[in-house]
Amino acid sequence: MSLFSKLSRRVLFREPQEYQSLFESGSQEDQQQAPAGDRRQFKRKKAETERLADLINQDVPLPTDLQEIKQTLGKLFRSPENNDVVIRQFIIGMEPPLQALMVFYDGLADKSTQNMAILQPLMFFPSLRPDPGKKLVDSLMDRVAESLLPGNEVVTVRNYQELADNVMNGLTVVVVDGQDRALAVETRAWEHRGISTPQVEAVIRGPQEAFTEQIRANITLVRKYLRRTSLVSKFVKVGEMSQAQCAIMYLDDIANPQLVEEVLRRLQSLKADFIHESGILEQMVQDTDTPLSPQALSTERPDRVAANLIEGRVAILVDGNPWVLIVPTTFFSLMQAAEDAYIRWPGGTFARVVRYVGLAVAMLLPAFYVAAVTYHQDFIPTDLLLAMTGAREAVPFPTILEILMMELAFELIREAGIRIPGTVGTTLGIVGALILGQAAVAANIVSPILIVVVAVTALGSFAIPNYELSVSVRMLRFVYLLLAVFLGLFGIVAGLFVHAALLVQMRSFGVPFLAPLTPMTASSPDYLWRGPVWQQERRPDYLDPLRSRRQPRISRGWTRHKRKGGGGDGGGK
Amino acid sequence: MSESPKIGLREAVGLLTIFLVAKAFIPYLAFIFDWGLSGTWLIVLAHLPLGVVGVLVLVWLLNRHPGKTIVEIGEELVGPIPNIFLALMLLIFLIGLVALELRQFGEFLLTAFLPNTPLSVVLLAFMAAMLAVAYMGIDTLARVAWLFFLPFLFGVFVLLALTANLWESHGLYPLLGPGPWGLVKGVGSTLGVGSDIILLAIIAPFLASGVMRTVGLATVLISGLTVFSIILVTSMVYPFPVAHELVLPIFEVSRAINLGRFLVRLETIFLPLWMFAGLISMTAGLYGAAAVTARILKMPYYRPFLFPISVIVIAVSFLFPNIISAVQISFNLLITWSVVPVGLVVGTLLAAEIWRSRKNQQKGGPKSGDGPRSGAARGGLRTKPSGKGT
Amino acid sequence: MAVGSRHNRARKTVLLVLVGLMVLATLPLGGCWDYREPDEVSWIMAVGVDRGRENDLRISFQIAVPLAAGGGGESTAFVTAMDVPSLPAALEVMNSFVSREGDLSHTKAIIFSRELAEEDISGTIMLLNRFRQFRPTTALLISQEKAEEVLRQAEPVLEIQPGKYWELITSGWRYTEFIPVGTFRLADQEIRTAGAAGLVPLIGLEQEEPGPPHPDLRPKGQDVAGQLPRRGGVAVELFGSAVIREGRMVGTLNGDETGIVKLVRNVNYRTFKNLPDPNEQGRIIIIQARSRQAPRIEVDRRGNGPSQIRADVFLEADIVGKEGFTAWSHPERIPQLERLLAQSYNEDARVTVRRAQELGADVFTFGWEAKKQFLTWREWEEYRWADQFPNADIEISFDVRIRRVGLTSEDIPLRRF
Repeated sequence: MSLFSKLSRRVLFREPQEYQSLFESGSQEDQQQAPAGDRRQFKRKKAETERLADLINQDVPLPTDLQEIKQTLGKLFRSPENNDVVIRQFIIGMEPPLQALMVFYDGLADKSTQNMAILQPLMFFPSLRPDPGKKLVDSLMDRVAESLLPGNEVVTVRNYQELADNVMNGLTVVVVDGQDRALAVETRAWEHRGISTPQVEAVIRGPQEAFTEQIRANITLVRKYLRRTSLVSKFVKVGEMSQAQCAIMYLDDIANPQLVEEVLRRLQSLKADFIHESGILEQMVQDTDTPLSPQALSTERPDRVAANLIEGRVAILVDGNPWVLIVPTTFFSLMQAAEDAYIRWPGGTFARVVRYVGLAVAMLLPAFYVAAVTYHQDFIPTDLLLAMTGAREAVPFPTILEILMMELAFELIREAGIRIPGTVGTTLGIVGALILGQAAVAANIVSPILIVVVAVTALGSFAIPNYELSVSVRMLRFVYLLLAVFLGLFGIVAGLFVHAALLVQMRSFGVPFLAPLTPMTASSPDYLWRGPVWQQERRPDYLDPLRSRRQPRISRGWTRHKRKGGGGDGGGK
Repeated sequence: MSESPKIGLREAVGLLTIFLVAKAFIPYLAFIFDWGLSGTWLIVLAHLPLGVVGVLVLVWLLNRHPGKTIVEIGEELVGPIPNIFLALMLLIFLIGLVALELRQFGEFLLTAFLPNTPLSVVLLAFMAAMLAVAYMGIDTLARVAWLFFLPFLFGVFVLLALTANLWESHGLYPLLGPGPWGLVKGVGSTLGVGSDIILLAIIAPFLASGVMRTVGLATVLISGLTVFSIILVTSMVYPFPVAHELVLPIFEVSRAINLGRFLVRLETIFLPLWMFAGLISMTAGLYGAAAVTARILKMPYYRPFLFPISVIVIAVSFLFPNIISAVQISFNLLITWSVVPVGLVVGTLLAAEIWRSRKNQQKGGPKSGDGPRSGAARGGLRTKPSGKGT
Repeated sequence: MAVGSRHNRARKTVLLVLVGLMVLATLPLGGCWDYREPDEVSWIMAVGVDRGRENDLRISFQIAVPLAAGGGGESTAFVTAMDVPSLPAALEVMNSFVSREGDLSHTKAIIFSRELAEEDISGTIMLLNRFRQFRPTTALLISQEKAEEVLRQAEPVLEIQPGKYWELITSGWRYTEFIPVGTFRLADQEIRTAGAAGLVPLIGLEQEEPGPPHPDLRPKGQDVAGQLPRRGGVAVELFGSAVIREGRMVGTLNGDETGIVKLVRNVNYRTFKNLPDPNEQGRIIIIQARSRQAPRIEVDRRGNGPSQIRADVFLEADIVGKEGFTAWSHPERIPQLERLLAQSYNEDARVTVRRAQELGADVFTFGWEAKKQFLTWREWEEYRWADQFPNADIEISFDVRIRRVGLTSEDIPLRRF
């Protein structure tokens, strides 16, 4: 390989695969910099880790010799140094007694289950249930699994990879001497948080439980709402170095199979270092990398997940994370709150309209203020204009600087509010209200009307139900501010034009981001306008679900059958 | 990636309607008062049936060649060499249209909102936004157009309705304005007012099959009625001799809104109407020009042509020494004479099509019995005035 | 869906770079030419136009002092005047002694002095039509005195800033008959189109000397601005209207005449009418009237000769009060009262028509109705309405219906013990 081609391969046309392996094995520069004495040790260590990695990655079958397994496992789990892992040797009380090995992580596995379900039956009672029908040697493991281990889930393990996976997941693996298989017994019992109320997506009306960090519990929460046999939760392992347990959930008889396939395809193709959080996963699977808006809906509410699944969407759960992703997501679902559907429709619609106003205000109000005050003064009512002009008399800064200062101050309060320890949290409100509100005006740093503008903008951004969308909107606000400064309202409108085009072009798992508005597709009245529940007759057409109808045209049977009731009070009229 | 864009029915109607209506927002349509005096609204009304006929002819032609733009149809019908002339005519029309509209939207902004900003800045800002969106493709543009279409129509009609307390019915009289013959002449000299509909022939391949006629008719009706309402209200708020003087009639209408102490000076609120109309229509024109160029050169991509064409457009729009000459030229070119290139292209192709189908009929089995003959009857109506114009 | 993702990303990157470049390219160009802070502008609330001493025009500006509106400061506005050839010139000259750029976009009123208006104001009006800052919703007024003096005297008592004062006082046409609708758009249209004459609110200053004593009952609207028998408040008064024909003020209409014209023009307002009680000398019946439906105007054009115009004005009225003891609210007497009222209005209308025809100005805008009878613009122009109007046969008749009688149905006569 000539220098040039090497260079061009490395620098210009570096292939991702090569790059990755280079990265994993440590770059060559690092090696060359190391001192000569350490270098040998380094090389040895590296070779060893690679060998151990191969052990896991390359489907190495378990040897039959127990001592060999023990030794290898000790190396694999770094046993003497690592105090977490327990490799316990014991004897199965059979005739003849058999050497056996139990591997688990202390803390991940439950001790009493181990005692009751593994050690007791194997050490003391193996002879209680003789199984004369089968030959001992062939079916020893079957016998152990079928009649000796009373654990509720016992899995056969055939290679090191499975063994390690199971141990890392909190199972206890039992290896028996002379067997090419091992058994993994369900003993998971790690510490986790109980189910609590939603912290971010709080509602006044509706269920008050939120997801926790445990994927099993989360799936259960969803399944509790959707009692359908067709609800599938499929586990996918995502990530390279530390594999995260992910699950996708969908209704097999509703979700479009192509969509499910695409979600699976994207998840399975991921080759990332560490995906332990759904936000990271979202960034790995989203269609376009744009600052304009998130393209997946993250929610901590099981009821919301259930409602979305039944529309034909797919949920992605990540273990260790209470936030569940729902894809595909359109703009309108980002602007919905769970409560819209729970209160009667006029209230729900009103809340939604207020929210859209909040979105518009959060994004455009400061820009519009700057445009009106510095470009289109003839638009401002004369009294207001003169009052504003009068109030500005002593303010030394141009309007744009004023508003930038205040917006930045507001962002600071907001950021500080998230980072501040709870015990000193109350001081923040005082600082914000006092310093930035009254004192800034009193000190003639900003004009009073500007405080109103910034405050209303802040309120608008808080009304956006999706946190990520609100972050995007807050950033876009500054873009529009700049446009307004340079060209007034014309700048804002030109920005809106391009912004709209970018949004229109966006897709979430192939679904246009602004569906069903454009492209216009059939849907129930559940977008800008939330219609009554009995009018929600179709699933969103853009998801192309297997069943497009939600409920018949007459979903309230009593309206039709009220006469049959024979004067019952059900009809009401 | 390479899947061809698709434009829905509503998106197409939104795009084409805004493309056609935009001319009511810039000065040049106001010159129509020269022809119609107090009866201008009748001229606009008379354009409606003519436009319907015209678009039916165009749709008939396009439907005979599904999946093709007018350039490819021309190549099939009249052969490559004559077709280049036809396509070039279209290209020049589109570039001229965008350039003149750009100049006028720029001048409008300078006159109405940004008196101290250099024209170049405004035009470049326009062009930047237009290029970005045109680059994203015609389907994106059409969807954006649909996104803004209903708010746009709503805004226009709210703006017109807000002046209800200023309407003076006498503005519509004397009914016939310059007299019946004068009105006919006026209609004849402003036939090109709807020739922008030729964009339909450029986006035709992206439309679903069978919706073309609906798109065409809806576009002509909605845009015709909108322009008619604008002219009608202008005539009533600023009865004839005054309306005739205005450079920016609908802008003046928005300035005249006077509903008490608070609901005045509202033109700034309606500025987005002008801007969206301008941005969407000019982006469509820009795309059209690039697409026609690509088709002439038989290239599958239009994107490489966007930038060169935008440079040409900017250059052309700077050619005019002042606003009023730009407006005058716009009126002559786009409203009076644009019917010639568009009519010539459509007319020639129509004639070729009819001739060919006759020949086919004589040769072989009857392909379509009724279509060509009725088409010929319609075509006669449309092509005659254009022939006279030349 | 994302098969060519690398390709896709490249495309997106190119796109973003393109958009970014475009935006960036405009930024250095966008030097913010039109960016200006509101406190760098002097907001002109009213403009006065007089004949100048040292130049063609003397323009005066009433400029708001924003500090007053903002809470501090003493005076709400100041007036500055300068002799210049034109109004825009004044805006420029002004900057040599007013620290902020002048702006007319919040101007509420433009006042021409009568002296100037009687010569010719069409030039300035056409200029304003073209001038961007000036808005068609501004009020156009003609003052009996010097416009500059009017501006100096216009110190609002109720309002903090003069702009609101001008807005409110010129919209007085909504509730009084004496003030015509005075927006610039309407006046401009009346003045410059055939078929109508301009009717512009007349403005004057409180008279110093009381006029000759006049103890008898006399209609309240017999005056024009500058003659009102009143004291107190802002020195400026709006009353009656100036009639403008062909760009020149040709005369005035007093308050009552203005009221009749407004009724014929279908400007709805409420008016009080003091009707002498025919049964009891020296006592009056007070009626509140307003139009009941749009007036019906018929123009009968006889060839190219003078037209015959008939206008029916429909009013409905309430009895507000009466001084006498005749039982006017009795159902049988109401028709008589209606006739009396109509007669009184008809008499007023006759006076007004005579006045209008003397002035040769179609203040009623009958011409606009007549226009509808013509088919083409040429015919209409050739008819020369302005010349025909003085000879037209005009009859305005009122039809009054009394609907309500106030809170008392009948008054008990005072008993003499």
